[in-house]
Amino acid sequence: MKKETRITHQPQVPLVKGNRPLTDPTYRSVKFTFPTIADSMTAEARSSGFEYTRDSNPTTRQLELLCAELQDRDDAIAVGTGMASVWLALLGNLSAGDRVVIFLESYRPTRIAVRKFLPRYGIAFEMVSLHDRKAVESAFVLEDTKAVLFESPTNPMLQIPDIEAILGLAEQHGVATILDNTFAGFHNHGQYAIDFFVHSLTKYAGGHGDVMGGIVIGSADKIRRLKPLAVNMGATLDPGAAYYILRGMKTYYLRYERHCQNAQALAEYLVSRPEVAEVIYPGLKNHPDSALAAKQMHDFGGVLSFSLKNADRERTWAFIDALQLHVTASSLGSTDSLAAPVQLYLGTDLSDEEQAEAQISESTVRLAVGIEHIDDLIADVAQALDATFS
Amino acid sequence: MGFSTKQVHAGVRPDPVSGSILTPVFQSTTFVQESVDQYLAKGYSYSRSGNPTVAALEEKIAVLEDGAACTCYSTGMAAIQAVIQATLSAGDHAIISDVAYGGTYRLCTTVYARYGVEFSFVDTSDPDAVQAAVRDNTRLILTETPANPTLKLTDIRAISDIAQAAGIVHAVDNTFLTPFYQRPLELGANASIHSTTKYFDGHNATVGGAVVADSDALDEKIRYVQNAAGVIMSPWVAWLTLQGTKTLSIRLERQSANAVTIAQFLESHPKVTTVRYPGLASFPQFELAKSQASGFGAMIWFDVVGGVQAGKQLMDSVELCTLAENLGSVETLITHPVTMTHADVEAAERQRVGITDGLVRLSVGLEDVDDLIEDISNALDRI
Repeated sequence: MKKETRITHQPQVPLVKGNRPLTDPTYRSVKFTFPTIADSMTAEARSSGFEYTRDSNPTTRQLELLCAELQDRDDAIAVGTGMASVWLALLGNLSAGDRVVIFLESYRPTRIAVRKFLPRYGIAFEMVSLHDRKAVESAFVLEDTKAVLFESPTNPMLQIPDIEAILGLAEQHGVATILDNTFAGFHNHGQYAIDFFVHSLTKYAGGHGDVMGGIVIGSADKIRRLKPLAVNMGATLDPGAAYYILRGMKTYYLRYERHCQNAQALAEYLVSRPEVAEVIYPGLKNHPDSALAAKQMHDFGGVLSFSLKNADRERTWAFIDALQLHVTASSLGSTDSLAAPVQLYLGTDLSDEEQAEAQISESTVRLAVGIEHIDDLIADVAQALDATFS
Repeated sequence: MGFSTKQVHAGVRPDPVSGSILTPVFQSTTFVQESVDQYLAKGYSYSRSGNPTVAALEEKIAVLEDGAACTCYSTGMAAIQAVIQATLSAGDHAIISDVAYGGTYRLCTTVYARYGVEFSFVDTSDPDAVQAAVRDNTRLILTETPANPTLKLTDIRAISDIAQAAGIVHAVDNTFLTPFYQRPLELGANASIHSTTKYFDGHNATVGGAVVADSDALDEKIRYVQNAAGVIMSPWVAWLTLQGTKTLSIRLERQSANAVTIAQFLESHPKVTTVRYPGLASFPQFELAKSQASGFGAMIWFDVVGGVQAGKQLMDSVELCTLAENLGSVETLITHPVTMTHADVEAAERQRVGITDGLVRLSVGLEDVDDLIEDISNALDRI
């Protein structure tokens, strides 16, 4: 073999039998090959062989199997972002002429996908408040309603829907259920008969603010039916990103636990401050649905929202700017604490009336509490409140 | 500035913090804002909406295609999906090349058909057929030239004229030739689409896609989908593709030179009935190949005597050529569409688009051409 050929057909480094790396290699390869066509056509090769990374990849597959197991399901499809997982779950359950139910209390890009794009493809929607029971029921009753997409807790206002009530309506009316479970995490809500879980892996799964990803999790047959759509749409997760997420997952429980402890303590501290009007965190006894949250979840996550008293937009922004450890940035669920002006980042697609119904005002602040030392986080919020209200 | 200068330098400036000559991998999901007031002052908020490493690649590809702007995607199919989603709604109609990549065909027929979008699959090598297929509600013409795997060419200028007269977006899948050899926007197309998995990366290391638009207005529509649907390219993939792109023209030149030699060898071989390569005088659209592109690329197909069985045997006999479905990488890859990529397509449909039983597709790589010819020659002998 000439050297010009050798450089593209590089030497193989075989591992001695039984000698394996503790961390599996990241399969960067786009293509996977078999020695002969016959080998590639065996039942085993066709069911679990790898061909092309857009379809499937061993590193990505490892992540899919891990997340599915943690969520108490059989299978999953990983994609490039959380929004790509929302799209996959929506399009997998809806055709032209169908209707989807979403809630006013949901993530802004999800509302935009449903309200701005789906109608262009003949898919109607019903957007109602979680707390408007009558409207929720009416939405399910509609003949063409085929799917419901909801969050728990909701982003950004930490509302808690009654999952059993939603599942009851869905079963009664033959509606597929999709839960964006990003806030609660893989270890929550698996006991409910939800058809599809979606997660932004960018958040608690990756956990370090260094990688984006999304996943749809469900039973084996439901995921099998969704797979051709995923392959055709091509919203593939980069195997390199899958590796970062797999590495992040090794500290998932440790991090999530600390996020929760910190958020609980920070929420309680905020309640004690006279400048703060209302603190919304499902772990607080004064949360209107704290009992429901405690019934549905093991713990309550690392995000809280609150509003400031006597604060207009300028004062709210000044408070956020005065925070030192909590940096102003989108995202959540990473080791670093972040602060966001809710109306500006997460409410601009809603009318004034809708914002009021969703409890979003110009003085609303969302904190994505990180895993720093709680004393430092409390001190940071304290000094910013002092500086803003002095 | 010459192409090879642009492929090295466009989009990449020394890092202002460290002076690093390469754009760093900005492996960060979110970007800190100096204050709420200065939201987006530095241009970035959240990596789904924009990332500096991905932006560097987008700028480089836009410059190479002489386009207004470029958006990058998780895969080539995601790029096509973004163009379709940006241009077509329920009730709209699109004209798609009848020899379009199978993934494109499936996206149209199994996904968008469910949402009330109409498609006509037309022989776009015939401008009259395209003209006849135009309707009042036609919003997109999607062509692929050379087509995969038949290498049938579409006259980009002729189809762009039809599209322009009717106010239709004409998008060309330019994956096979890349802007080094073919620049669809200069020929009047509105968008050039790439699977960067192929020649841009060139090393079989990433999957990715790109769309270059001829106007900011079209780019904005497509970019909106990129963000809303979240079909983004990861920063690591963008970085690897930036590196790969630096050798795009020299790889393609060598791979094309290898392809010419192999095509000529095949043409003289008794076990080969037909060889199709746009650079051969026997190629039916040789004149168009010469006039609309500055090179012929590195994709060849040929028909072996003996049909399915012979094709299969050839696949199993090659040693250096790798049996795999990708293309455009430094490794020579060989496929037999009837038993591999198009195994699920009905026989009549395969015949219609020109995929015969003995058709073998070769993506010629960077190996020494003597080694490649020896390998193919040995394998042909075993049939």
